[in-house]
Amino acid sequence: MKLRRIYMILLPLLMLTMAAGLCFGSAPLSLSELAALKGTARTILFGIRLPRVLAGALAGVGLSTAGVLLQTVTANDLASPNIIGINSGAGLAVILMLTFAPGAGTWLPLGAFCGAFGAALVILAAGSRLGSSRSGILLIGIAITTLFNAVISFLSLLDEGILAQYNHFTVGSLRAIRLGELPVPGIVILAGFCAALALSGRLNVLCLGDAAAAALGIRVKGLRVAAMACAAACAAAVVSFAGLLGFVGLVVPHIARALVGERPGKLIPVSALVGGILVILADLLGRTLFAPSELPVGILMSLIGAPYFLILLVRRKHHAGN
Amino acid sequence: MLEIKNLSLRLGHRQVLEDVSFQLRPHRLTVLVGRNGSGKSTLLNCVNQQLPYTGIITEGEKNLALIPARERAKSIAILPQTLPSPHITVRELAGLGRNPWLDFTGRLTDTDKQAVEAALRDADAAELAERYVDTLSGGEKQRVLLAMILAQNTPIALLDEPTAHLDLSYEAAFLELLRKLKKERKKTFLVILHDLNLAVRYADDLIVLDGGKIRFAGTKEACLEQGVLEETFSLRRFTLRDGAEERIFFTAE
Repeated sequence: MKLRRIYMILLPLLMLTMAAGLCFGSAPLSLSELAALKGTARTILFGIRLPRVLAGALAGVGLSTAGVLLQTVTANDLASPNIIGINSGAGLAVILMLTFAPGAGTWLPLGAFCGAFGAALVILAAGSRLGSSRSGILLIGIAITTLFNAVISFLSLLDEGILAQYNHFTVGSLRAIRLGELPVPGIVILAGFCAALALSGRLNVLCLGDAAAAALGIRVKGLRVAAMACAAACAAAVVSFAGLLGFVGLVVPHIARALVGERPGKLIPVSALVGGILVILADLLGRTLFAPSELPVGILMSLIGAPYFLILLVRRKHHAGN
Repeated sequence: MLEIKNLSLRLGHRQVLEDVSFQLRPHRLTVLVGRNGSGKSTLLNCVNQQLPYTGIITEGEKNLALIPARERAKSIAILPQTLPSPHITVRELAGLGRNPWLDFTGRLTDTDKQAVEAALRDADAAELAERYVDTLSGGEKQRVLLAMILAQNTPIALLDEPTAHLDLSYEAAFLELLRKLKKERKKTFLVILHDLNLAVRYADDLIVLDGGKIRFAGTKEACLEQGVLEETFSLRRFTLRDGAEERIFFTAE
């Protein structure tokens, strides 16, 4: 499908999903009520739904961009923020704060961001010593994830209250987000997205392997570190307000790849649009399907994402077989 | 002109290359031969600045170790032995060859697009332009990879076993294409080959590596006169007359 046609479908779809996210919920609001901006409608709009819709869009853009970058630089379709240790870093920071500074609840988002970005820096530093090869970064990420998860499991066993709070963080949710929480992570995500677009021309060459990329004038190690830093910043910013939304960074790049192929220059913007649509839609379904109860967006993303991912894998295997 | 002076490389306890020196003569097809493990691909990796060697590799006045990767890629194209087959079109792949010449936006200008189309034509790959690289046969893939390095528009191209795993007829056709490009486009090629029969048929110059050291570097005629290949590879040489043409073959002793 032509790229322009894909944008002509995805952009209106994003607008439509955002509008639906603003209109629907446990108390439906018509477009005229929203436009009037009065009374309860105003409170619901600015206090609840607009923050959730914007947070969903930002989470989708951030995690999808991180997923494309990580899958490109590691040349591994299974790479995503939760597999290479970024999410575990955030999780470790959160559980450390819950355990040793229980009164610091309002600082949890900042702690999560620092933990995620810190984990990425550890991976990059270790990768740099070992040559920053594709598989090297992935294996270091897996080792760090395992180590962090062990510490998380140990600390969560010490106190049931902490375990409950930590579980809430790991599920990933856009509930109770306020507008004021979004500008800083929003700026980080948009900066990461723009940097990823700027790198995309050089990332295109990485599909030929390190030796060929070097022969074509790419500083492979530097490019890999820059792309990893962008991915870490995007993923860490999302973790800071939405918790651990696991499946987005893994599955969305695969959906976009089915639409526009493998070139990061096309994949990054299309993934961002698909990611934004999917997270807003999952959050909308989560709060309307069982209203007034809510299903956290992380659970719904996994429920939608995992079967779709399996279908994609089967189709790809079938395609390869042919 | 590519010149290598006193190049040595040690990996772990193994001396992979030792005091290697030679020059590539311009507008010639030089074939690099040697037994498995003699250091042929490693030598290309050193030129590609991927290994920490000692010695000097220069192109013209430029020391390759001291210039940016982009500058190096404007002078020397290198095609590694094994490359993945990405799911991109042949035209997109050939476009990657323009990378050293692109500005920070990474977009192909009209000049770049013209260079890509010319490279596809030169490599006899124009009819494959819309095909996906991962659907090509071995012979087709080698032609489109050649198109990519031609699009790079460098005076020198180094190819690591470009005919490996190809049928005999494809091997000969590919080397014939290199010979034509050398003449018509004034290119300088260094090609690593395993097949000595093809090497002596298509080479202008020969470099023989043996255990990481240069055994011979010079014209094909001098190499054959001195019997270097027979001695290095423990082979017997036969000469077959086909009308006016004389063909040389090697077989195991």
